[in-house]
Amino acid sequence: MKTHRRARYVAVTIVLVCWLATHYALVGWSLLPANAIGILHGDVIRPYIEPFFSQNWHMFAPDPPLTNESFVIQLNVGARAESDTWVTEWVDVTTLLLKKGASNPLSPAVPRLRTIQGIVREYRNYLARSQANPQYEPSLYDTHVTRVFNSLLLTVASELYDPAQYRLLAVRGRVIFEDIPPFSELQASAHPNTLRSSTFDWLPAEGATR
Amino acid sequence: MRRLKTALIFFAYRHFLRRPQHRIGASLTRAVYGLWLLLFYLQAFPIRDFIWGGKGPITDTNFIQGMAFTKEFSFFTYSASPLWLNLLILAGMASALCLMLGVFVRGSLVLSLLLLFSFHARNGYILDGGDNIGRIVLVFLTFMDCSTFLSVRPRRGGLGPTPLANVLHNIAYRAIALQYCFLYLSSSFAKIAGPLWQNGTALYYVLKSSEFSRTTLASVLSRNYVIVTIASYCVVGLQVAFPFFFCVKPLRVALIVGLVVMHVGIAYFMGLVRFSTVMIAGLLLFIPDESYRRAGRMLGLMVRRRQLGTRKEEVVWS
Repeated sequence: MKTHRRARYVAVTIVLVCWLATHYALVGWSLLPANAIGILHGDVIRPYIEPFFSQNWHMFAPDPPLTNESFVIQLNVGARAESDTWVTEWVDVTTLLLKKGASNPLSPAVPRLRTIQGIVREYRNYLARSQANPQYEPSLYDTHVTRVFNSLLLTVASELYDPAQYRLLAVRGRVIFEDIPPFSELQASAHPNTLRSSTFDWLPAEGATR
Repeated sequence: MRRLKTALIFFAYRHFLRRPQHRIGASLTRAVYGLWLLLFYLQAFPIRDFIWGGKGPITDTNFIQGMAFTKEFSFFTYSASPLWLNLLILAGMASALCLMLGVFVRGSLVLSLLLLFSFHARNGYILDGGDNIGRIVLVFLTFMDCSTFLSVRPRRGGLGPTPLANVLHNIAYRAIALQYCFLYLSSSFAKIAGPLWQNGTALYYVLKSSEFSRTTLASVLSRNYVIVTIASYCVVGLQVAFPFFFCVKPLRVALIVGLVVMHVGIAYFMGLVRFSTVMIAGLLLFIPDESYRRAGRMLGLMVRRRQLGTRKEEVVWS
């Protein structure tokens, strides 16, 4: 009886070791760069890896970020009591969060900042894809990404005005890029800051759904 | 055939069946993971409506539509009410606290895992590499004996681990070790492909980044080309070395110390405190029980010597 039990445990050990080897063969394959086997047999690897073992270890790789980005929004508002409308200045919604995160890495500003940056980044990626190919047809995922970005604009805008006194007519966003001075200019006393921006279209607020 | 059978039995017995290995490390990892989870919920609690609630940019409609693409599990599919959100967060905090204290460990691990997947699915933008490795390690930690040490209610000696529990514990340990090997190998290979890591200037850009540079010291260090170059190569070197040196026991502790120093540096200079916490928690698992016991004995010896020294002074003065 004892021999049977020991044999059973040894068999279980061997089965689990075999599973471990297979598991990490699939994990290793999923981490490789795009290759013929991964593309042709992705339907075998992906259902196993996702979602419990999905992983991406490209942290600051292949290169760290070379620009600092900030996100600003501009509102087109109208007073409820009057018929006047006006366009506000650009309001920076990320720099203050960055400063709060820098002084306290455990501040709630950090997840808020990451949410804003993540949504904007996905939307910019979609715009880059569509602009790279004139015949590009937005996928369902692209539509979803656009909807989330519009929702972000409306959510952040709603925190910037008093709805009792004003009504939001439209909102738009802009990403400002500041290039990090190159390493080769390290010894230079002053390096001119290069600023670029990418401005998105106005999103009409009236009738817009979040 | 008989020799092969004997070899297999000996291999299985020696490495998996005899006793669970790295139990002190597993308990330490469990406790630190509890802290990591608690920090996750506490950090997000004041702005939970923005990042997880229907009032934020990811509305309930957007979330449900997004699930069609990710196909992940989430408790948030059951209800969109703010009360449900608060209940889930409180359940998360309670399970994290249980992990820290070592009570209801198995149940807390399973609940923590399910809740973590739920929150990650609700808003994937707030995650970093630490969340990724954290949830993978939590899956395997569920099969380990991590409640024997550092627990308010440690396992009672009478019952003892069964051979099956030993096998699961040791397999899970090796799964986590292999996961770390793949993590560091994949990360280092991706870095090696980048020209800025190749020429040793990558850390300059990291320390100049407004998102990841938080101290004046970081700015000062980034201006020193010697420090930047050496540190950039050390980061890649440590990560490349991990899978190979890990197998050499005398080098393993030195390697772990190097990586802990690297992650403490990441926490201090880059502000990635939660990421560093979870990475260090996993590294603590790989230190053998005997090393912990030896460290504990040395610490006890130092404390006793200090106490003896104090009493001698008291005798002399009196």
